[in-house]
Formats: sequence, structure tokens, C-alpha cells
Amino acid sequence: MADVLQEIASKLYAGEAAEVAELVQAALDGGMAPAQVLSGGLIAGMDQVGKDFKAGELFVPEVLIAARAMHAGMGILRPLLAQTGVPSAGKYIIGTVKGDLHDIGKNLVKMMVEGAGFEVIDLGTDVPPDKFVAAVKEHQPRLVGMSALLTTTMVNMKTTVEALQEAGVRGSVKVMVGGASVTDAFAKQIGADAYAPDAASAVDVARSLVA
Amino acid sequence: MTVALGIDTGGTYTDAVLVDHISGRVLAKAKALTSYHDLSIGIGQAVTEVLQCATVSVLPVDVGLVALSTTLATNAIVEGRGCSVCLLLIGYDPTLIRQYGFERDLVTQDVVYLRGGHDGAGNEVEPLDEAAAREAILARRDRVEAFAVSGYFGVRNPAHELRVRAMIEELTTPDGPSMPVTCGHELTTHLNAVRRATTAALNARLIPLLRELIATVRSTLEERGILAPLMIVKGDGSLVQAGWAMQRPVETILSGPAASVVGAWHLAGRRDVWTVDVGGTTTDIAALNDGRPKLNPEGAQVGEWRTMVQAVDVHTIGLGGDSHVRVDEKGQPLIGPRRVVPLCLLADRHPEIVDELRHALGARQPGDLDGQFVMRLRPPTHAVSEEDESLLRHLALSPQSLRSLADRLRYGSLVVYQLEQLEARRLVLRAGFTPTDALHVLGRFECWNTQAARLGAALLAAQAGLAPEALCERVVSGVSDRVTTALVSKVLSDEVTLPEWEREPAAAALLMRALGNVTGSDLGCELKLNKPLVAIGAPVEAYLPRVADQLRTELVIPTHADVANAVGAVAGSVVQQIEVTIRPLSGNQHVRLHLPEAVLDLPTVEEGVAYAERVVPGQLEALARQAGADQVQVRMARVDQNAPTKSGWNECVYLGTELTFTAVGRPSLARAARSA
Repeated sequence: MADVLQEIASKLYAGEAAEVAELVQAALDGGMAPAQVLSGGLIAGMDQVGKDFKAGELFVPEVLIAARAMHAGMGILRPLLAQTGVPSAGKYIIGTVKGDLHDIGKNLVKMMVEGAGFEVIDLGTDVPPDKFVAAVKEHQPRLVGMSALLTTTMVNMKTTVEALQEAGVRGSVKVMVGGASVTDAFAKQIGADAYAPDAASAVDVARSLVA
Repeated sequence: MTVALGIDTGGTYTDAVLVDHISGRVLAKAKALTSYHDLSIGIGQAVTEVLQCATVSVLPVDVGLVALSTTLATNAIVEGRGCSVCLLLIGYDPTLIRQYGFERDLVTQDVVYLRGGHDGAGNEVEPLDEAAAREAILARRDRVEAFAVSGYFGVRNPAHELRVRAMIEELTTPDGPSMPVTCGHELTTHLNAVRRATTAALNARLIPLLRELIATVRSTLEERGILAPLMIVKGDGSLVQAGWAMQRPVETILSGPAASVVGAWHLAGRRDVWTVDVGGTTTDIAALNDGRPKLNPEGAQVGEWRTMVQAVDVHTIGLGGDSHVRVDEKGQPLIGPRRVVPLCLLADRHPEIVDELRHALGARQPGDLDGQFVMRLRPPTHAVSEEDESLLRHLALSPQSLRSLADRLRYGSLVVYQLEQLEARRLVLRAGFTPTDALHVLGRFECWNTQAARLGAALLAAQAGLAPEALCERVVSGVSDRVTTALVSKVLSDEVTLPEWEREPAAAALLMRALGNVTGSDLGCELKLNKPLVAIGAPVEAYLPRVADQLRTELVIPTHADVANAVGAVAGSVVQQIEVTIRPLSGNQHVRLHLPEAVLDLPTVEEGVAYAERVVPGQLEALARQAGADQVQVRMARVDQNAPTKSGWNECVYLGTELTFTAVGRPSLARAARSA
């Protein structure tokens, strides 16, 4: 049994989407619980991807391919997980802030935190502050992640934090920020809870914020 | 000679002091019992007495200033008193309010959502729906006593709030003066639309109450020939003229604790200390940083409400000299949080209870009901139930023991639950054994009937299986231990997180070792408070030395520590602030100034700062004079927010500038007012 999980993890690492899907189905047919397939196979594989990406042994394209394989597996698991009521790690709203159309970093984070078991709601790019507030209202997430590549749009992260404050919901979510030019000092100054320097760290940060 | 009269209405006592305005010397002090249903009665008694007992002759005309710290706003909020208020919310999202359960925070049921509001940059999101506003105001002008108005991002652009305020003033004037209106942006510049609504609604609700208090206090003072200006202590320890406080009563919450911190500073002359104020009902712990009370960055919490009022960061525990003492099954004293009348004080007024105590001690195995008495506080103003009426009739002439009431009334010991409700309505008062009685027994503080205290101690000691003196020692050291624990909790909560001692046995074990309450352990623990401790209230000499020992710090008990709150009331300055926010506009072409009453776009930050420096000080000085200040000094603090980024060569992102203008002045005196 455990061999199947290990195989799922290693196929995921290698980015073999079709095989991951097949293996997931096989594991389920063999009577394994969906939650076990998720944590022992998909999340375990994605964790390894995160570690190696952080260490510089994997690069962005490889991560994207692995994430695609993860999605293939999740496609099968998701309806079953919802049925069995397996709790997700929490809802996570993500978006690139207003004025900024860059989505690679945001998508990487999305895949990684999804891989870590969060239920991600992706608002896309160029998301104005009131959209973030509306999404928080609708989904009542535990985490809000913001991405910005440009120094000129980073200021909109502050505007978004302020919009959450004004709505009165700032205290009920944790806010994390990231992007090529973003720094820890910047995150502190705008009143975010945390800064993640890359997609793999984003998972650790997200986990520690909801711990 | 110019004399300032300071008055503090506390949970148990109303204190009055006369202070020489030039030297700050205390000339006379007096205490009376606080009269909850009409604070001016206790105030009148304390003022009469303080004028009589002054060592140097002080005439009412010598009083140039009266300053009052009052629990009225705090109590009214906790008890849910106040007038009917309509809350008009502009541009708020009712679904969000509902989904997050924020309705509870809106104080009133009468909430009207109006279209309008702004965004974070102060741009109008939607025009104000004036027709709906008009309709709402007209429908309510005969039904409510005050309006509160709060706009979404109203602190970034108050235009809609100001427009609605003007409409209310216009539409409610026909039959006399316009109705009181409170706008959110007047009370704070901070973001959080829900809390601004809470704060504005609470303020509106308190206006008639504070107005009434000030009117009765003024006439109480006038009857005694005192015509000096009346000032009220705000929750941050500063003073405002009574007329101003009537507009912003919510700013007087935590007035008492703030006055006590200011009093500690004034009397002890120390600028960086922790202050402990042991009162009859509660003990307040607060910090003095560089001569100013440390304020709560989150805004003051009162009862269930989190407000945006800047007030002293005070940690209050339900423990005081008049806390009710019982014993648990192990014979350990349980102290508070209920406040009762000490037996020694009750016997001082009603000596007949001494016999009753003696009787209880001799009669049988003493139980929980023994040694407690009940007295009537005031006749009920509203109709009461038949049971309550029968109970109150028993109390009409004199205090009765709880035992005899239980024996005589229909439901026996269940009378206790009935009493608790009457106590909450302040119709009856309970008397029982207190730490103050313990001090009488031990001979460390004696001003009332020691015999009653001894008998009360004997009753409890019999339950605990101890000698009366041993029990009293445990009570007194128990008070000290609780104060020490509260101080440790407060410092930890400021610096790390609030400890939950019951749920963290290892932390609790270390604390017990630090308190010196564990013998025979191989592990010792010492705690050290890195600032001196100033103790005020009465009688702190009995409790605080042990606290200072346990925390290995210096203890300062200033002269007149027993009336520090009242001294603090007159020692405060008049302080007013205006905050100006500058934000880059998108595209970075211009910056936007968010001024108290408007927004303004200018080409550069420096031009924005220069504009604010030109315009604001004059406005602020006028404001400070309105609030009752003399010799006003205005200073500005500027904070630029430049956050470092990783791109380029240490490039920074400009996030904005906060300008804080502060005006500080001495309270203006009657003489100065007359010559002006």
C-alpha cells in the first residue's frame, strides 16, 4: 500500500500527470482512503518539490509541471474529499494586486499551497482592494495572499490591507505578501502578517500562520 | 491663592482634594461614599467636607478650577444605559455586517444603511443618497434622542458624514435646538468602519447622561459657592472643558484609572513606573511611560465593546479592600470579585449587628450564609415583583442577616439568587467579611468597628479550621499574591501573550515558586520587575510591600496615596490632537492630504507637509482653547513610510506620511477666564 503512495509522490515529482491520475485511481480502487492518498501521495510529493525548489535543485518550469500532475490527481480526489468531509487546511484567497498583471509567482504559490491541502480561491490578476474584501466576505478564508511584481503596484498591497481593516475583517484573516521586489520590512510596514520570499516558503509561512 | 478642586467618583468612594495650583501641594482631602443613582450626592458630600477640613482657610471663591474624573460613561456602557440612538451608516455593506455578526457591535437596533461612501483614497464610490437620508431622519426625529453617523472610509473623506450631519441639524431644529449628532470621523482617524460605528453610537447614546451629570454637578458646586470652570478627565488622562465632554462623552471612559495614573506621576514624581491602584471594588494596573499614561493601541475596551477611544492601557481585576471573602473546601480564602460593605464599616453605622454575629458564632456549625448582611440602598424607581417587594420590606428599617432572611422568606436559601439580581440593579447592598476586616483584626488598619471584624473572621476561620489571625494573614497575603499575579500577567500580555495560568500548569508552578508559596521544592524561581512600583489607593501599605518583595523592585507609596485619583484629576493638561495623512495617488503624479474636514491634492509630499504646517496649528490651537486650555503649545511629529524593496539599488517604495499635531496647554483658571 505504502508503495503506491511513494510511487504517486515520485511520479508527481517527475511531472507525469497521466500516471499520477492512474495511480490515484488505483489506490482508491484498492480501498485506500482519499485523505490518505492526498497526504501520503500528493502532498508528500509536492513537499519534496518545494524543498528542492527552495534548495535550487528544481526550477520554475519543473515546479509547474509537477503542479500539473498534482492537479490531475486532485481532480479525482476533490469530489471524494468533499463527500467524506475531510477538512481542508483552510481557505486561502490569492490574487495579484491592482495594476499588476503578473501571475507566474502567484500561480506558483497557488499550486504549492493547494498542494499543502489549502482550498485556494484564485482572484486572478489586477485585483482591486474591494474585490479582495468581497471575496473575504464570500468565503471567510483564514488566509489572504497578495502578489505584486512591480514596485509601482506594491503600494496597492497596503491599500488592500487598509480595505480589510476598514471592512472590520482584518482581525479574522492572516495576510501574507510576496513578489520579486517585496521585502520583510515592507510587509511589516504595510501591516501584513508575513512575507514569503518564494513559493516553497509560502507553504511554510501559510502553515505557521494557521497553526 | 488659586486652588484647584479635584474630584474622583470611584467604584466605592468619591474623593475630593484641594490642590494649590502653583505648587501642586495637597491642601485638604475628603472621602464620601459614591452614590450610584445620582453621583452628585456623593460629590456634594465630599466637596463640603474638603472645604471644611482644609488646614489653611480656603474659600469657595478661591477655587479657580474644578476637575472631575467620573465612572459615569464606563458604568453606563457596561450596564447598557443611555438614550435611544439611530445609527446612519453610509456606504456600509449590510451583508458583510450580517455575515460576520457585526450587528452586535452596532450598539443600537435602529440602523439605517444609506448608499454612498468612499474608498481608501477618499474618492467617492457612490453619491450619497440624500433622499433616503432625509426620509430616515424625518421618520425618526420624534422617536430617537440622538443620531450617530458613520461613513465607509469617512476618515479618508468625511464629506458624506458632514453632509448627513448638516441635514440632521437642519431637519431636527424646527422645535428648538437640534438633536445631538456624532460623526465617526470626529472621534478617530483610524480605519475600521465597524468600530467607528460602535464608537459613534456609544458616544451618541451617552450624550444626555453626561449632560445631566454635568448639570447636577454644576448646581452642586454652585450651591457651595464654587463658580470655577468645570473640566472632565478623559480616558487618556488629559482634561477637557465640561461643555466639550458633553459632545464627546465616550472619550471619558476609563477617566478614573487615567486620573489615578496621572495622580501617581504627580505625587511620586517618577516618570517610568508601573502603577497599582487598589480601590474598594477593583485594582487597576497601568504603566507610566516618560510621565504619560501608556495608552491602549487597540482602543479602549469597555464591557463587551471595543471602541476606538484613546485611553489608558489599564488591566483591571475584581479585587479590592471591599472584596467579599469566602473560604473554599480546603480552607483557602476566595477573594472577590463581588464587592460588599466590610463588616467593620457596617457595624460602625449599625452596632446592633455585632450581637447578631456573636449569636451566629455560638449557635451552630457556621455555614456560607453566616456573617453576611443585606441592606437597602435606595427605593426602587420602577415596579418590582411581589417577591422582591417582600424582601425589600424586610430591609426597610435596618440591615438583616442573610441567615435570618433565608429563615423568614418563602424560598429559604434561594434568597441568594434573588439578592444577586437586586444587587445588580443596585437596589440592595450586601455586607460581609473583606480584606479590610482582616486588616482590622490584625491591627494594621483601624478606623471602624474591630469587634465586628473579629467575629466575622472567627466565623470564616471556623469553616476553614484555622485560627482567626491565621485566616486573616492568608487573606492579606492572598490579596498581595493576586496583585503580583496580575502584574506579571499584564507585563507578559504586553510583551508576549496573556498567560492562562489554569491551563498552563508548568507556568503556574513557576509563578507559585516565585511568589514564595511553595516549600520543599528542589526548584526555586525569582521574578524581577524592571521598573519601580508606585502604589496608590487605600490602604496599600498593607498589601503592596509583599508585592514589591515578590517582584524584587522598589516600592513608592507617595503621601496622599489614598486620594491620588482626585489629585490626578487636577494634575492633567489639556491635550488635543489632529492627525493628517498623506498618501501617494496612483500614477505618483500627486499626493493627497487627508485633513480633518476635507481632502486636498498637491504636487509633492513636501508641499503637502508645508500646507499642513501652515493651516493645522491655528485650527488646533483654537480647538485646544475651546477644550479649555491656556498657554497652548503646538508641536508636530512626522513619520514618513518608505519601505525597502529588493529591486535596483536600495530603492524604496513611498507609502505615505503621517503628521501628528499635538497641542498641550494648562487648564485655564477662573481668574484668567474672568480677566479675559
